[in-house]
Amino acid sequence: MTEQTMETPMIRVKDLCKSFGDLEVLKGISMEVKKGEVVCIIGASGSGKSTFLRCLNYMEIPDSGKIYIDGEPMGLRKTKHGKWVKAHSKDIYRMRAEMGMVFQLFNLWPHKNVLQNVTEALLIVRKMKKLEAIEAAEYFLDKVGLIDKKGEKPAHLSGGQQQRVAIARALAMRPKIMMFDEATSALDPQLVGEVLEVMEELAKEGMTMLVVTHEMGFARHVSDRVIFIDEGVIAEENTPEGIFTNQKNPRTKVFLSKVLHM
Amino acid sequence: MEFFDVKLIWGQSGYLAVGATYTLGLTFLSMFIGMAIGIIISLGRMAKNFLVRALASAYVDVMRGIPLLVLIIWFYFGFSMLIDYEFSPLFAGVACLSLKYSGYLAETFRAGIQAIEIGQSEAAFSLGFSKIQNLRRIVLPQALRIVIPPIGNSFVSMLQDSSMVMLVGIWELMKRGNSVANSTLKPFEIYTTVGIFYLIMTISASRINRYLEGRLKLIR
Ligand SMILES: Nc1ncnc2c1ncn2[C@@H]1O[C@H](COP(=O)(O)OP(=O)(O)OP(=O)(O)O)[C@@H](O)[C@H]1O
Ligand SMILES: [Mg+2]
Repeated sequence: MTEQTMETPMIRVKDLCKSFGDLEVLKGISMEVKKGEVVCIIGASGSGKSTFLRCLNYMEIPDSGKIYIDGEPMGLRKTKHGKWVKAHSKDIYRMRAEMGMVFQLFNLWPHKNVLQNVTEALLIVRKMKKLEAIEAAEYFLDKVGLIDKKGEKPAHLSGGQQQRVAIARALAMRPKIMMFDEATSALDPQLVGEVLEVMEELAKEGMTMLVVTHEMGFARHVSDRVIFIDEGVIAEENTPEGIFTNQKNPRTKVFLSKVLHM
Repeated sequence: MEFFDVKLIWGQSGYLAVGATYTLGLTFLSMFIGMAIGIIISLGRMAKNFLVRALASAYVDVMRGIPLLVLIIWFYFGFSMLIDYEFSPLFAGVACLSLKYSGYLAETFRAGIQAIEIGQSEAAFSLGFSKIQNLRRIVLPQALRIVIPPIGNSFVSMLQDSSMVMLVGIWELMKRGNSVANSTLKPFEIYTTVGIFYLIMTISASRINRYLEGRLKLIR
């Protein structure tokens, strides 16, 4: 069985590959995220950043490779004879519930109000009692500064507010990991700050975070490590300082000069 | 002899009204069953498995493409002879109407379900929802609101198509009208009355449908 210690990385990925038809998107990605670490993933559009995150919680099924979340294999299990086979769905669902995911387009449920958006998974997945779920939801809505909007429908909120509700919805599950897939890319520039603030706060509290982002300021000042994905492989893995000032790979420099001097 | 015998209509209207309630009951029941089958078929149309998709899509094509009359004759006369079992008229009538309409309803549901952005389901899955939980809690509640207007239209069509099941011997509105017209030799009066009964039902159904549509828009 798997043993969980402080040394067990929160996320461990080995030789992850994923293609869509003839298109090889991920060509063998290996990496680790330690507990409490904040790792940013940068890379050009279409380089496979979203696909990578989606493989981690098995929303996309990898073609090969292994993923361990807090020591537990994701999506696969070993038979008595030592062969790897697809895991039971209920185990995948259980592990997903431990991994919060925040999407570029918020993906709130429009037929439910803000509070219900947050309580829904607590009631359905965590099987909490209603009062307990409401209490938990209110705690996290308060944390993202939106407790006074709890009765509103998502359509009545600004993009930044919607994204903060989405973050509260994921946090209320008390996940081990939070994954952000370009959480601020769809926002008007003046609304980006309020979402980044919430993310930075989380990072300070010690949440393990994997953040796909085009916000180079966030990558530089909040993350512990930056990973540059290029043509389906990790082209560079470095400290924030290193990646912005002292690149090991010339391609990193080319990419950064494109995004920083647009 | 009068041109339009009002007294005759008055005398027969009670008998016809009972037929109208049968028509209504038959339609509600068949619509309900047709929707249940339709939801299942629509899920089959969107399944990952190629064979399931092909079967579901063949089902839709066949049900939509066969005239109800032919379906009734196959089912009540042909199929019944083949397995040497006599269906009750009610069973045969409801079965044919639900089967026929399940084809249309499957397509209606598919459109409704596909109108819900995939991102909403992805959010649910990322939180640990199972496929069924996502369907029940996120997708169907919204899809059902979207499909209410087209389902209302199907209901109105079915009210009229249900007259076809007089063939199997259900004493619904049209069969009663037919029988009274033959015995009184006043088809014009009787069929006009029958038509008015159908109109009252279809117009009421449309009104209710429009009301619901307006209400459900407000909720979202
Ligand atoms: N379900 C899919 N079917 C087919 N191709 C896909 C699918 N999902 C992604 N792709 C393709 O895989 C490649 C990588 O996509 P991905 O969304 O992971 O990129 P990304 O790095 O997140 O880009 P962006 O910065 O634009 O979000 C793209 O070429 C995309 O078109
Ligand atoms: Mg992406």
